[in-house]
Amino acid sequence: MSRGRLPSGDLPFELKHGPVKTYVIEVNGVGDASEAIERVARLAGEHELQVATTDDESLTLVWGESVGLVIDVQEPRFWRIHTTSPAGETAKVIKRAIWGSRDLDWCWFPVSFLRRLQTWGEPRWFQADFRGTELLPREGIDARHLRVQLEGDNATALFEVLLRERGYRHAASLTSVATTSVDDSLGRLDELTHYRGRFVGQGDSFDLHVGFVSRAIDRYGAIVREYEAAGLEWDGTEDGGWNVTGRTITMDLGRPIPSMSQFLTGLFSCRDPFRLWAVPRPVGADNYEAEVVDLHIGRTFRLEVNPNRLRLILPRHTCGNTVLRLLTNLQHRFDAQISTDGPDAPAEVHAAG
Amino acid sequence: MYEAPVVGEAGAVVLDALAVQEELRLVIPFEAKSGANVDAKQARKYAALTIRDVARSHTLPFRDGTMMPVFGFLAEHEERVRLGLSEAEIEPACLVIGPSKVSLDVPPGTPLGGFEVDVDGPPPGIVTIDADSSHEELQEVLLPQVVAAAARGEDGTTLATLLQSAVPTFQFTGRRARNQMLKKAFKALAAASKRDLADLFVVEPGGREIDVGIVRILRSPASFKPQGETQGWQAVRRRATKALRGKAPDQPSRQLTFEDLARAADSGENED
Repeated sequence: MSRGRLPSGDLPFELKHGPVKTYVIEVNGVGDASEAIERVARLAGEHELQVATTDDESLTLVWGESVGLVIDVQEPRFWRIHTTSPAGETAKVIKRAIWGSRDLDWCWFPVSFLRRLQTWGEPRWFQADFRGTELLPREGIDARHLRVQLEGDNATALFEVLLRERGYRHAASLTSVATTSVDDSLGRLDELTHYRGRFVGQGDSFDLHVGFVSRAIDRYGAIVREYEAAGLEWDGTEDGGWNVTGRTITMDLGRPIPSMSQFLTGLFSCRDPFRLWAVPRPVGADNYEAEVVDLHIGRTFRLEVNPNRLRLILPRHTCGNTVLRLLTNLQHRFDAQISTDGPDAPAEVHAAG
Repeated sequence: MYEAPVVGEAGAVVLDALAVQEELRLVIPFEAKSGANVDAKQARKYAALTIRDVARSHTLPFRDGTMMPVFGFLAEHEERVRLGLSEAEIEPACLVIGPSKVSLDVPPGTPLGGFEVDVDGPPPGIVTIDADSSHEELQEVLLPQVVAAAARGEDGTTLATLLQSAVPTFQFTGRRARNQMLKKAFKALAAASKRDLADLFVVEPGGREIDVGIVRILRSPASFKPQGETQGWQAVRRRATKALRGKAPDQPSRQLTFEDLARAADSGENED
């Protein structure tokens, strides 16, 4: 690993022609930009990549044989990784770093979040990918697996049609959305957003792309922090009583769980993307409770399940991204209509961006 | 406030919960009963409390108001609890919690109205463990804490740390009850370790100081190569299920979609 200092305009790797891709990852426990830069350097070393800082104290350059990354840690909780390297190679590098680190995670954009982004420009294209084979039984479900991609004028109107179809609305789990927007001074931007915190921008100005990403991540960060504020906090004394503040989070499942056994087995299979470990126990008819271990970060929370809803009870300081990882992946694997009583509630979706 | 101590004319009592409704100037000492028996002496202490008694130990936003003791219990114990309250010659409000219904019956003349609402399951489990909990109940909350410590890559931790994470009220528990919980925790985890989870962890006594009992993580799947880590955690889950439920869990589906098969053949970007 080399670790030099370069002027911000001087790149040690080639910038390829084509759209700029920005991967945003969530990083827990990093206080400021200098700590973040240190963390980037350690990660680069662990994964045999080269690293150099720049004149800009929030920008680091990381590169290897097949990738060149410009990492912006101005917001230390959410790193923006810009690249023009091939998507497959870049995703492999980032995936390896996330898998091996308890403090890094993808951003997880629920359906309501992506639908809001569609209002930030003219919606031109979307993709929905639903994979219910793990959590839903083979019998009695119209679409356990459905992939839809639509492009054209008024693409969201076609999406609304899918939402109205009773047998298919559960599978309308947005994976990517694309919009076109025009700024009077900076020009045109085609922006694609993927539900795992990836952005691809093409147009007249890099600043427009960065502006779109920043706006989206500011909003995402607010949602993450709002979930974190819901965590239970305890205070008191041995002989004077104690108080608890915070609240539970409820996920309305959109439809009853058709097979509780399959749902719980799939959810707690320890596999990606949920990465949850638990031994749920039955409490009364059709109700289960579980002390869940989020294997990705090694923290626990309590989950109460009944056929129509999940209830999450989080300790204070639980990472809000844990909630969004669960919600988003349930939308892609159980029902796209799952909503919460939290900050991503669907009522907000139709509000102006 | 929970576990709130108050001294009244009939003696000292630790209220399970103390609620204050400022608008109605209402103070609610709440007794939560898990069983069917009513301790008549304790019940009378609740009934005899005054606003002034509460104000001596806790800050109230008003000086004059109404006391409304509430007893909460499960619907399956309703008949016996009501009989016990009647024998104690008190008439508190009763919060009756059933599997699909929760009702509040209030005595005449109280400012708060009663209600009956449908519910879709048990109330949220905010406090699920106390000093009276069984070994089995402690196992339910402690084993996940051991797994979490293993997932964080820790070599070991203390029993007190595990209990603090699993039972947030542990820090407010008196020394005697705390030691009781530590002893139960030691037995609960030692039994699970010996029986089904010997590969994962071992519990070592802390000598005379029960607080320093140590749980050592022996072999964590977090240290496996990525290809084996998931299977490692699944194996831990199978053994934990056997320890807690006496049987192995259902196996996750192995079925792959055509797209999964295509992805397996593709060396490019893989979503999962």
